[in-house]
Amino acid sequence: MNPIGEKYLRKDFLPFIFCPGCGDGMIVQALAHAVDELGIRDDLVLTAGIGCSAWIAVYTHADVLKVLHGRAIPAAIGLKATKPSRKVVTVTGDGDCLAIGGNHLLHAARRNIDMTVLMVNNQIYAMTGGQVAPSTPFSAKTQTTPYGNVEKKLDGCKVAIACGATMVSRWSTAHPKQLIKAIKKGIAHKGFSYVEIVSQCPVQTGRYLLGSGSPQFNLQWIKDHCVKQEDPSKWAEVEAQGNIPIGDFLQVEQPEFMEEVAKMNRRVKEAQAKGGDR
Amino acid sequence: MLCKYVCPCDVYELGQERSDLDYLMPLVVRIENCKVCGLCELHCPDMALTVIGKQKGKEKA
Amino acid sequence: MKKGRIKVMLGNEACAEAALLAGCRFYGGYPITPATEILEILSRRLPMVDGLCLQFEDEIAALVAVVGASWGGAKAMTATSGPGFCLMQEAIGLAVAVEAPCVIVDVMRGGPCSGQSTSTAQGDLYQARYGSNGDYSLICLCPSDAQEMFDHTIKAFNLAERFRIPVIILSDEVVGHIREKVCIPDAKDLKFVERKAPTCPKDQFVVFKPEANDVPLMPNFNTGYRVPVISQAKSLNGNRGNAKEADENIRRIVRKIEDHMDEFAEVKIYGDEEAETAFVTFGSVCRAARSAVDMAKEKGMALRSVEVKTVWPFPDQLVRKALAGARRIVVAEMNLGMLQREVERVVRQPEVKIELFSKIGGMYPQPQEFLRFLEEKR
Repeated sequence: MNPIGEKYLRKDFLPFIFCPGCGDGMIVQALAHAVDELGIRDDLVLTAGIGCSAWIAVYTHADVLKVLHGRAIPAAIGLKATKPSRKVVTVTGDGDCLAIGGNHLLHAARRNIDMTVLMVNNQIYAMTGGQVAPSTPFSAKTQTTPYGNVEKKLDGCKVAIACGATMVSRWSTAHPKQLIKAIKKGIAHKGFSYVEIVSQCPVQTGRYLLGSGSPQFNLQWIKDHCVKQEDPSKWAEVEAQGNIPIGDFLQVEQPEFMEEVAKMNRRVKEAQAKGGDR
Repeated sequence: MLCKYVCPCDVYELGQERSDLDYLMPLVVRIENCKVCGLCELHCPDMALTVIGKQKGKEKA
Repeated sequence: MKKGRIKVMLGNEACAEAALLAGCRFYGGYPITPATEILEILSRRLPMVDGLCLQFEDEIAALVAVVGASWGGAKAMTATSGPGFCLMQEAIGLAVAVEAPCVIVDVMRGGPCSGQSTSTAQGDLYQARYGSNGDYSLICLCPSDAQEMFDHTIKAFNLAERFRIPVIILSDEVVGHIREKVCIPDAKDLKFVERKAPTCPKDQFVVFKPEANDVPLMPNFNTGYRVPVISQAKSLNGNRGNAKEADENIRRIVRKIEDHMDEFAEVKIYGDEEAETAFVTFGSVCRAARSAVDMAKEKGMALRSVEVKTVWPFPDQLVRKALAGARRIVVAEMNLGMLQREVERVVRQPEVKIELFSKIGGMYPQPQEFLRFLEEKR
């Protein structure tokens, strides 16, 4: 096993439940590199929901809270609130984050809570056998859209930006070095970081949507269809070609939620000491 | 066999030995071509191999 | 006579103040009549003690965040009413599965569904016990006045920490919104329970390995234990398990509570303990039953009122003992018969009549109605 795996894998949970060639295993490694290079292992907590991607968190040897489908973000808020110095990383999937968990993504981004969401996008509900997800392209034939998907797909990065996330990036498993940098950037960023990771699912997306279950084919597809475009005004061109824009899209500094809470608490306590309660 | 796929130097081939999970494992056949770029190590979803610097060796899990 | 400060408080206010005294420092909530006051009061009071009160986007987020805060090391609570309680059911299962101490207040209102937001009812009794999926157990307390809203909240936090479970405080609109005298004891006169943390070397700790009392030790996150806490945990090490491990885990999380009921089960008797006719009530209806007992006593009629204070797990033995010798039992509740079924299950004597005085629609039963029921249904 490679040294980063030796250091960061939860050995008594191995072997991975991931299918051969699944991008999730690569993301475990990328996350481990990012945590190692930042040196934040002792402050790290991971939360996750349900789905293949959730297991990325479990296999990482850190304190992990894996909760209900779609609810990884509220769990992260509870952990952050009880000790703001924690580095909270939420690992979620396209269904977990954009469908059932969409509301929580919206409000956590709006609040600009200092946490990092790693959204693993394989464009399908993989764990349950290949059903359509909010990120599945139009006309795709999945287990629940056997005649072709009649819905437009949702872009998680656009949602995150619209809801107030202060750091938004999208990379993929075909860009492991840039991915590690983006995860590091997200964790180090003080505010809500959203890092989407386009990941291969050879067994579901590969076989049903792309025509091949070969890991090499699927990874190559990602490499070919993820186009670096960091200017949102040019995304429409990329999407018109059937491609996915990737890159570091946004990073701004805004008032962070836990800091605002701390400021408010200080103000309240000072007023109390003076005899009021404002 | 993503290692073989991403390797720009054609170091790997499909081997005959099977792993503990019964998958055919890759084999290092052209170690002299290895430029120590680390792509194989980064792309392995199972973190099964590592590139040992100038020694250009390979371990498996 | 209880020792302490006397204050006139809203039932919901008493609950909030007790939570603060018990050490609650995280509240995740959502506005819903008739529980909103708990959220509003704590949004003012928690910042004063460096806690956090957060109004979430929905009740599901509120309770999941409470579970996160619990594993984050805090005593955490939420409060809601029927419709919000429905939304929280999956998360109650989560708290059970990851053994996270937390307190959930359900201030019941008219149902089903959105129902009657400003009227009282007791229709969530079964939901409190069986609302989530699968096999599990938990503790449910039923306050009948503002004083009990206070006392039961302290007790709820203690039981949550002792057993590592979600504890439900099943209140109702009458108890939540009544304003009456509460005696607040000094903190030094109260006993507070904290969860037990491991002291063994970090690499030897097994996250769901129970102690002798069936409750595992609970480490705080970020103290080096690096524990996997997952909702699907069945194995001792926290992973999913095989059939045998699942069987053992499910039985243990039930056993850890139900084998120790003597630590918390409570049934009170008001009136003549030997009276042949007995009322059985829970929550706010206890008050009307007491008045009915007093009214009957003035007329020379002996009645006893059995008040179930810890309704889940149902205190079979205590209820049976409290009803010993009764020939006619009237279960009075503001639903179509839920407590009644438990009493029938527990008192299996064919010669004893068990009747249901059911008052639904949102109006609180008056003491005279109890006596009229006894008269008319003789």
